[in-house]
Parts: sequence; structure tokens; C-alpha cells
Amino acid sequence: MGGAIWDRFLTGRDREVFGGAGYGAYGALPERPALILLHTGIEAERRALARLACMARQAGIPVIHVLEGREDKETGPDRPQDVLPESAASDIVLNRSAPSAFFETDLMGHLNLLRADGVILAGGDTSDAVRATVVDAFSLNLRSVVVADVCFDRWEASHALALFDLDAKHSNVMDSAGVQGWLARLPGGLFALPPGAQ
Amino acid sequence: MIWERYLSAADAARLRQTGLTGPEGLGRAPALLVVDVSWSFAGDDPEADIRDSIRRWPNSCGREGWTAIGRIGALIGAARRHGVPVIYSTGRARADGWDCANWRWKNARTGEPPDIGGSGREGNGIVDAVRPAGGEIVFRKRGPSMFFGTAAATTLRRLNRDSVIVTGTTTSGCVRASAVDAFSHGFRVAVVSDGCFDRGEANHAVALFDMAMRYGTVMEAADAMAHMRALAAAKEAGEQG
Repeated sequence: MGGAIWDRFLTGRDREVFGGAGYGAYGALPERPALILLHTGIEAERRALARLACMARQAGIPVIHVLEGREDKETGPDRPQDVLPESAASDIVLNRSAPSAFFETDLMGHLNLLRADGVILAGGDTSDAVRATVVDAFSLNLRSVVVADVCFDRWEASHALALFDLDAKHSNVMDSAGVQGWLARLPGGLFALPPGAQ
Repeated sequence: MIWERYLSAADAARLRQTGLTGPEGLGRAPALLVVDVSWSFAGDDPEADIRDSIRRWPNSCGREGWTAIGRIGALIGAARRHGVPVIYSTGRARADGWDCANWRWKNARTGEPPDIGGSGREGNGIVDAVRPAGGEIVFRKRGPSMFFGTAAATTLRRLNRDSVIVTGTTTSGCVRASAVDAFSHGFRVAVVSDGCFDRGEANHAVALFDMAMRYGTVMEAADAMAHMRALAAAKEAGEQG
């Protein structure tokens, strides 16, 4: 990754050491990725996430929205479009109450049901939810891709270093144009998506 | 603080307004966590510059690591004196390396046997300076976090702990992942800034910043020792009263 984002935050020694220690090699991409959107509730970010969701739906890739905060609805059928207006009926919506979207949620169960072998991460904050979720994905032996230009953090250094660390050790950091090209090359109809009640 | 020179001008301006926003409070019943202080991450030459050290031990952190290890040794001594349980982690892998395939995804040198120069040191062996005492708990793990796939959270609850004091390496990797999981499990988190080390200078500093902003308190070893001493003194006073 020719990472302009993090270059200005690293020391010369850091560049030397990470290269010398073998980090940042290009890892294989998942063959059956699911898109995970870590929602931040900020309007501009919401629009960027929605665009990424459209891209994934066109490629037949599952879209999983993760909202922050415990779910307090007692009963009633779950329809994603009722919970999150921009979601499609075939999307999946989860709530998280810890930094990682895997922590005490059904996310891994949903990925197993989809037979996904990896995840594409976007949203925020980069140095909080995105980072913690990628680290758990890594521990779960899932391949991952982080969409750098659709990750958000109010702290510039934290954003840059999170992307650097993830690309060094756990994930491939790409931009959305790169992700679009990759998804377009995937075979169609990879997933049996939820049919979605209207 | 150590992170100041690594923040952008915009970050520095924002920080002056927000201050540190991590959850406050240190808890009253801590455990001292010593994350991954193994030969792999330390290397075997305390004087070696990291740029030389990584030729033989690709994951090692050089001289700064050994300086921190000295402080971790002192913290372990204080914890044992004051009745604070010490819990260690280190990596594990099958001899054939099958179960650490994910570490090879992004690292061209994972699985490379270190040049141990006849020392017979196993990479995942905890270094002598912080060797666990008999009866202390060691979790062997495959992921970055001490909590992932281990009984760490259950163990802390069984020991009636409400908080952790985190030391070890790497600050931005396994220390951070363990601190995030401790936070997610509901423990108060303190991270010892000079009792953690990392191969990256910016990575170390910004990881400490992130943890102070989001997950807990960042403190120096001397303050962590004073905290453990004060808790022990308060407990003793309570028992006598």
C-alpha cells in the first residue's frame, strides 16, 4: 500500500523497522466477502456508507449494518428497513455495545450462515470500532479489507496509525475505487442472501 | 505526554478542548497483566538497536523494549508484595505452524526460524527477567488479545478483580487488543506507558493516546506501583479497623 495517509505520522526508523520485519505484505483477498458498515450516525458519513452498500448489493455481496448501542426493542419482527431507512430488505442489521462488532453479537453466526470467508469494513471510528472489529476478524481467521476513504475518525493521527497498523498486520487497506473494481470481478450470485420481507 | 509530537496540529488543538476522555477510575481490585514479553518480542540482546535486532528476531523491539522490561519486572515485584495477581500471556503455535496461518497473511517473515545462536530459546518463552512464579497464571494464545480464545475474563471474575493494569508488548498490537477486550468485558483499564513497548515509535505513542481517549487511564510505572501500594495499605487498615 503506497500509504500517503500514514506516511507523515511515522518516523524514519518506523518505516525501516516495519519493512525490515516483513510487515505489510499483500495478503490474499477473501473469496466470499461480506460488507460490514460500522455506522457513526453522522450524516455525511452515512451517505458514504450508503454508496458503498449500493456497490455491494450490485455485486451480490451481503450488507451488514452495525449500529452502536444496545437494542432496546422488546419484540416484533425485525425488518432492516424499519431499523435503518437506507437499508435494503435483504440487508442485515446488528447492534453492538463494545468496540468490536464481534463482541457479544451474532455477527460470526451470520457470517457462518452466509458462508462468508472474509469481511470488508467501513465506517467509524477507524481507531475504535473498525480497528477492534478487524482485529477480531483476524483472530477468527477471516480475511479482511478496510476501505480507507470510507473510514472516519475525528483524530487524524489515530486514523492514520490505525490504517497503518491494520495494513501492516491484519488486513488489506484499499480505497473504494479499488474495492469497486475487485467486487466487479467477483462471480455473480455468490451468496444466498436473506429474501427480505417487504 | 509521549503522544504530543505524533499528533497533527488539528489533533493537538482538539485535544486542548476535549482533554482525555477515557473512562475514569482505576478500580479497587486490579490484576497486573503482562502481555507477550517473550524472546520473540524482546530479542536476546538488551543493548541491540532495533534495526539490528530484527535481523535475528523479526518481531523484536530493541533497546527500548528491554528498558520497559526492567520496569515490568519491578511492577511484578510490587504486585506480588501487595497481593495483586499477575497474569501473563504469550503466543502459541503448533510445531508445524498450521494454526498461525493468519500471521503469515501480511508478514513475509512469519514462520522464519529466529537465529537463536545456540541459546535454545523458544520464541514464545517468557524472558527470564519477568519469568512467572509457580502458581501464577499464563494464558497461551493465538490472537492478539489475551482474552481471545482464553479463559482470561472468567479468571479475572473468579479472582474478584474489577480492573486490570496492562503492561507488555506490542503497545499497538497485543497490549491494545487486550486493553480493548478488558474494557469490553467491563473491567477498568490502566495501561502503563513506560511498561509497554512497541517496534514502532509512532505506533506506541498513538496507541497510548487512543487508549487514554477511549478505554482507560494511561499512567507511568511509578504511579501504578503507588496505586497497588495504596490499595494494599487501605485493605490492611480496613482489616485492622
